[in-house]
Amino acid sequence: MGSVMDSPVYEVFGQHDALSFPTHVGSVRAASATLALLLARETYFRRDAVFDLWVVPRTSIFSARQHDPLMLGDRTNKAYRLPSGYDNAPIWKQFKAQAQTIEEVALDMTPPRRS
Amino acid sequence: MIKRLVRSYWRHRLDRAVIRYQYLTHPEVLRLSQILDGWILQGQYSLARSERWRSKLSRIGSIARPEAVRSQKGVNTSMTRLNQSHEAFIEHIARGNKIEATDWMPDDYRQLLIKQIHMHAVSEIMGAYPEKEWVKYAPTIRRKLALNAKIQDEIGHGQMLLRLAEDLSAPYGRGREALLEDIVEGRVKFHNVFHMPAPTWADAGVIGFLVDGGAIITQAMLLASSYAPYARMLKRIVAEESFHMQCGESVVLALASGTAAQRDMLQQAINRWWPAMMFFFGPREMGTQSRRMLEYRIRTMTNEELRQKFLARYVPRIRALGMTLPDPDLHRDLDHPHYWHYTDPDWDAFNEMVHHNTGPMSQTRLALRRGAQEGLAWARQATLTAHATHCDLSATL
Amino acid sequence: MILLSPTQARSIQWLLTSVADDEWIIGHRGSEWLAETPNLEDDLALSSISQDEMGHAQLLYHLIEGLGGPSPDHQVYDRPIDRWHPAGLVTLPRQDWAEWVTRQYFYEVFDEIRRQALDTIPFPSLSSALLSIQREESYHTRYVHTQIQSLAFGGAVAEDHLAQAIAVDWPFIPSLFTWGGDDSTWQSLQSPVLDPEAMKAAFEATVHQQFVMWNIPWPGALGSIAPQGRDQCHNPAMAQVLSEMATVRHIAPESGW
Repeated sequence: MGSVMDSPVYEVFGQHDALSFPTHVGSVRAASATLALLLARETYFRRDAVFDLWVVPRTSIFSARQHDPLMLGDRTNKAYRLPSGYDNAPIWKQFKAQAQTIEEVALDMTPPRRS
Repeated sequence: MIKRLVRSYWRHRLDRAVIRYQYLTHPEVLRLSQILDGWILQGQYSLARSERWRSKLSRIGSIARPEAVRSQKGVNTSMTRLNQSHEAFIEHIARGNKIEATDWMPDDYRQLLIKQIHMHAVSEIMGAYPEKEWVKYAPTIRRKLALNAKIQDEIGHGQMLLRLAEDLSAPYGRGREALLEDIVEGRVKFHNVFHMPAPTWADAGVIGFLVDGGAIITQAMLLASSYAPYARMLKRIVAEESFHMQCGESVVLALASGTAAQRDMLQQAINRWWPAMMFFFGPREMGTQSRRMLEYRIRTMTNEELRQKFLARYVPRIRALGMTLPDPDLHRDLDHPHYWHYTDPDWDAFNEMVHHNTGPMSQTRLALRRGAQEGLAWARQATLTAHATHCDLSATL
Repeated sequence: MILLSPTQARSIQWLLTSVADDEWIIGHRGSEWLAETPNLEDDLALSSISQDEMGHAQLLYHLIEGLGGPSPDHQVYDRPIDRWHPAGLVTLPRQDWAEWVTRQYFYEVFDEIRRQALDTIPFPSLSSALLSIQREESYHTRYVHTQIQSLAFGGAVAEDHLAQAIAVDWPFIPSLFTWGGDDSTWQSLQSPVLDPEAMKAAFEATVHQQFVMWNIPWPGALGSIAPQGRDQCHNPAMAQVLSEMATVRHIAPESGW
């Protein structure tokens, strides 16, 4: 025995619903992509319904951490890119107007119920 | 740039600006301090205000900035950038950093991980067999379906964990086939409990109750493991184990609520499994390898700490069911009520069983595994051959 | 809603019993392969299929209960062997892996034909049950096809295993097409597709087409349909399954488990 080769590894990604992104959940070994897809369903999603399922040959994944970890490191100050990098509320207050946040806008834009 | 930044903050309210400095790096905080010094010397800034500001800066500098906090935010630095020495590695994980499969790691860290995860995977797989014996006897439709699903999960956990062990073993040229052959060749151990007989339905229940209960305690501890792929996978495994916990307890509760015959069956099973459960967590004094695993934060608690957690949870519950435990010495310490005294299991006998597969059921269950691994190697080969020679197989589906 | 006559309701009970018993027993036999399949990944797929089949049986036993039968657990654990009606094929004791793949393949082909036939019966609870069953069965078919293709195209050893498996299963295929009870049961429902001969013809056509596609030699014409194909009274394998199933439960028959 011991003469059987290992099947290739496929990384498995599952997307829970239309508005979520596919997320890596693990991997399977399978002789082909079709088979990998069938096996991934029961390996990782036998309990939950899933919106979409991807299998990707492990060899097709090029990881930054492995090939160029420096690009992942710390950056210089980028506070100007962040909402918390701004402090408009007190200034708005000086102008006697109220500050606003994107969450409030989003909430405001929830589609109205129409019957 | 920093000067401009600081001036812009200064123009607004310097005091309030401090909250934003959590995004500054440590060198930037130091640099700000120096600029502040310059301004004071130039008379642009009062000493009193600068003191207030400086104290906030120093708080940020010392508390918010260190590496550990950033790594929690996912900006984990890889060891490939660091000095690849044992000391640097230990320091790296001591700061709360996690290790990924493709990161540099000391050889013995890799070997300990392989040993731990391989054995964990194999125990899940071998754990399927004692419960499997009871599938055809399961006394209700629901129990039969649940037991099928539980055994399926165990194989599933075996698959997920073995994938991790396979990735770690890649540098040694060992994959799925090799790691599974290790089981039938007796080159990898599995948990002592799965060498034991399960002669009644109550044993199937008690395995779900006590063995899974013990495994959940161990696995919950491993969620904090320094090896990130293991910790990630365990999150999923622990979630599925919570079904096993409810399922096993449900069987035990039904027996405890049943007839005298059912209760007696349960008591006998508890008696059978108890010493094996005391062995399950390992010796009081941990061996060299277990201590290395603690040092590497592969695991985070000692054998005895785990066993005590188990005793604290399970002894009161078993007694509440009106069942007894086959250990006359089992009692809480008078001075330290959180510590349970217990009788040592027969360490030598269990060790012999685990190391040489000489338990009452070791060979029977290994024979089933051998049937799948060696007996059906032809079927794995057939799948590979079919898909290699017929690339269009998927099209005919 | 179309009201069923008492005769039709009784006929449906007969029909559903054959279907449910097939599903239960093939699920039971399938669970004998737990942790013993060629691959860990295959084990998971196979176990899901077995669980699905037993789940479908449970669903159908519920429908039978709704038509005046005992509870699903009673039907499974307390029914004497003379009132079980699974096909001989599904009761066969476990043999080699190729036989299991082949048995599942034949069963899935047949089961699809039978589901289409059952769907012509004007009984809404059955139609909705069939709809939810169908969702799971399409996975079974796809998966089982990959398995049988692996045997068909997997080289000389696999081909041998497959040929032997087909030789074992083929004589038992006609046992699938009968319904429990006599011919009047399916005839009272006035749907020609329920005719065993019609199902047999559809089965032969499908399998023949797929065997050609997969280069599997045709094993010859199917045997004729024996009216007693689902009688289990003289089947020791089935007697053993039933006695094993009841062993634990009968320690305390009135108690909760």
